[in-house]
Amino acid sequence: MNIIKSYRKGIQEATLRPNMAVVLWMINFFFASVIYFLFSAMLKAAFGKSLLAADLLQKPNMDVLLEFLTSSGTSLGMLVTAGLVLVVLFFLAGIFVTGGILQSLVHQRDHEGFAQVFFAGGGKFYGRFFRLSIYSLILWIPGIIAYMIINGLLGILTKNPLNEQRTFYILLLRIAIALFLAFLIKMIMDYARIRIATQDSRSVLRSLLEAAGFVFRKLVKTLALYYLLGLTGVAAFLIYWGIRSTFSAGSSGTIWLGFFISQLFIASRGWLRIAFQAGQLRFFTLESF
Amino acid sequence: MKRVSICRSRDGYVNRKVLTKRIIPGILVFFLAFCPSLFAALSKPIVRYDIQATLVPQDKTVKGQEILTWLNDSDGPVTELQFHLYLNAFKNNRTTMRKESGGPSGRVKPAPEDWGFITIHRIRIQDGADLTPTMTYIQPDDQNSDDQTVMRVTLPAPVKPQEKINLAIDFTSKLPKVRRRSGFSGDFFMVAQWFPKIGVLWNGAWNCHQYHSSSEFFADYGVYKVEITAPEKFIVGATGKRIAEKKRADGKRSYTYYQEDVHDFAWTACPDFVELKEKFKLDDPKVETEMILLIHRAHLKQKDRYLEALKNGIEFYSKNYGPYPYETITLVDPAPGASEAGGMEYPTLFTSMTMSWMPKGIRMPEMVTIHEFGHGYWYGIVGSNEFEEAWLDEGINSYSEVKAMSKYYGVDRSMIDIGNLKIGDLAFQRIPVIGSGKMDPIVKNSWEYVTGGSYGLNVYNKAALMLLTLEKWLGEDVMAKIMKTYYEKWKFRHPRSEDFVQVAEEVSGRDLKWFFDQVLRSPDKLDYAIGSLNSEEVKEPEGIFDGKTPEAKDQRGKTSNKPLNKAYRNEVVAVRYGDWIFPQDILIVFENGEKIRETWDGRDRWKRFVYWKPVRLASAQVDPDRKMVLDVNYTNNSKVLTPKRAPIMKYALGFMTFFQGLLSFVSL
Repeated sequence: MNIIKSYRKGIQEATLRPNMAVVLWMINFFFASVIYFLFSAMLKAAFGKSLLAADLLQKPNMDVLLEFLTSSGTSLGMLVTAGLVLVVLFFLAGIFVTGGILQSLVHQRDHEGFAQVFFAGGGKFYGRFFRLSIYSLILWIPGIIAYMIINGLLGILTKNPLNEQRTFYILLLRIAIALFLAFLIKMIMDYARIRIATQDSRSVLRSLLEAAGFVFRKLVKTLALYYLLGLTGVAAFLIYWGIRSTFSAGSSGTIWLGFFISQLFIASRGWLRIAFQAGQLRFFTLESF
Repeated sequence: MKRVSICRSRDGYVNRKVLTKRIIPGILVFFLAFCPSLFAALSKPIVRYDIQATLVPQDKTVKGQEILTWLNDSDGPVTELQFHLYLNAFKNNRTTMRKESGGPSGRVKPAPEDWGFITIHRIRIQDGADLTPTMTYIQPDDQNSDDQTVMRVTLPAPVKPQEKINLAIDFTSKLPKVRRRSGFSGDFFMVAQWFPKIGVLWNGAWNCHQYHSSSEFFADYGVYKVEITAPEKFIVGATGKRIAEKKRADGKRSYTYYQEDVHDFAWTACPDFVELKEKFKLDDPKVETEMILLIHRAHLKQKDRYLEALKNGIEFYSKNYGPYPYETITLVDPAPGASEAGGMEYPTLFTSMTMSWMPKGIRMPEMVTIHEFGHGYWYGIVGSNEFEEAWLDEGINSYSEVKAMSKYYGVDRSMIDIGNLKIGDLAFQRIPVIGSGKMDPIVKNSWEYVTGGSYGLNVYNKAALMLLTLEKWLGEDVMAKIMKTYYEKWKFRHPRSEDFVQVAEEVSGRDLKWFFDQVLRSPDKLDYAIGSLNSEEVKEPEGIFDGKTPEAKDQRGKTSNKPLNKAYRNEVVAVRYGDWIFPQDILIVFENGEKIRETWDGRDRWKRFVYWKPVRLASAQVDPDRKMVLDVNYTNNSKVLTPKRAPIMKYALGFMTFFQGLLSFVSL
């Protein structure tokens, strides 16, 4: 019952804080816009003045795209490098944002403005959450070892190459297990941050271990809540995809319409992130006391 | 063989006595008298092999006794014979093939049973001298003394011109773990390059190359009669037609295969094969053959894809080059885990490849099937030398494959057709050529390319693009005639590159040496482009001209009393970035829709075209009809004066959205 309560609370809290979702979207947009300018410049240099570029508006011209991919290795390498740097910077910014979200969810009072609480929280918890990210290696390393052991065991089942179907399904299983372990560790991290924020704890390592204990003690419930919220994200994606696939971006108008819809979806991801934090915060509160 | 089957099909309602005593002899006399060529072999038989082979699955070996009859078709006496012993390429990690291809994939050390080799126990002239003591290994290509893939024996007396020699050879072939084309994988056996095969005495010398990473085929035509014995549970398939089958007392079964007019013999055995047979008939041209599909039971769901592709292949090649001349064609589907045996050609038998989960939209099984069947023509029937001019089989066959795939599966989607993602075979052929360096030409000894990749992109891809360019330039009808004539003239013979060029020139009535010399012999590229495009408004004359203020002049500089309209100096510069020279068409389009078509011999590095018009340029394009399939950069073939921003925006925003999704996933 606490799962449903927490889920509803998470959705409710996220919905009541549209400005927070907008901030998350803006940060995301800011980082991604760097990629837009880089990629746009690359495309302009590669085929911006070619007649073939006009064909790309209607359908992918494989000649142009394959020529671009095979002859733009250096530029693409720079783009990938820029992308990786942006991901790292975004990750660091994400630590700040999480502090802001939790501070707003835990401590916001009526007389305080959203920005004041959000940014104060980001600053207040940044050091602790950053350390938490480093300490999380004590979860990631056993997680990777566990995955390698499972992988090795599954490898025995695929030794006989005659059963290609089984090999294919086991490949899918391997991916599913890897995602499961990654999500499990991320979930433990969420509860560790929640514990730090709610108890204003400075003992980061202890919070991480206690969060791990909390999750494993209530594994089914915590997973159920996590995947219920995750399914909400999948539903949002399906709605986005359904709408997006009803029209093709063949003119400037439809290109911008498509982009606008995609931005709504990205904003919904921010909303979901708040829902995750709020829902798990509620669950932690209900189950801890 | 084929003629016999025609007679056999005439099974009318005739009195047997009359039939046997009058009609049949009468028909035979008629044919012998008036159609002697009908009974001639399709090729001049230089060799005849009679082999008895026994598969010993537990040892991964084939024990064989071979009777080889060889005709000295040269003008001089022959005092030595050279043989391919190609399984020795798998004997150790220092053979030429292993050095060229690198070690086995992965870090797994080969088990002792994984190596392959062939042991000659005895070689002798039938009813004559034992040649075994004269056996020596030679390395004509690279002097690698660790390579034992070519053997020489010395004869006690020379074989005179047009004289035959009969040899008896006892051998054991230890098959390798399947790697690079032949070997075993579990109970699956692909038995190729497995017997002592004599080289080709060509232009007065032995042409008997070592086994290389990239090439392995060149042999004389002849007759093969092979009896294969294997445990009864094995399903067996082989080159040629099965003419006998008998159960033996030891629980084994023997199958006898016979084929004329081929230059190799391969076979396969696996207890998990499902054998499917289907007749294929075509009226124009007349083709009647039996399709035999040996498909591993794990892939049975894919059988219709294989059979459909095979039918398409037989139809395409028969209609475009010549009727398929053999009574059988066997398609072998290698067992799962034996994919290295996939995609190989042997006379009347080839291997394709698939996986049980292969989506229909990925047409790899179709492409491989059509390609390998096609080798039955370009390698099998037209027996070019793969070691020295591999483009004559791989390049011509890749060209044929692109055309066949485009015809049956769609030009723009013949390889991948999944949702909005559609890619044609031609696009795949272009990828390696676009991204390649200028390292090797198309014609070169196969083992002398800088890398295996360079070999592949030149002899497969670039050669195919060369022929497609030629086709666009000469026209489809002329090219079709060239291909048919080349096939007809050189079937069951050994052509060289010059022979193809000669046929192309004869049929087209043009001098094509300038084209082939560039593309076949130089490692350069073809790349023409529109370098720049300008439209500038012509300013009215200002200043002092001959001591006077100028009168109004029109855009040509002539005096005019009327006020001037706007005029533009439109300039197009076409550029040659590549080193190959090819005449170019250039299409120039103005803002009002007016089009001008120019031609350029393409020799200089650039050519300027200037037009004085009351309108601006809209675009310019070299090769507007896309004849230059070899052009490595289509994108720079055209330029517009005012670029459209929407396409760039569409892809840049799309990529940005993708990146946003990635970021939000990282942060969740």
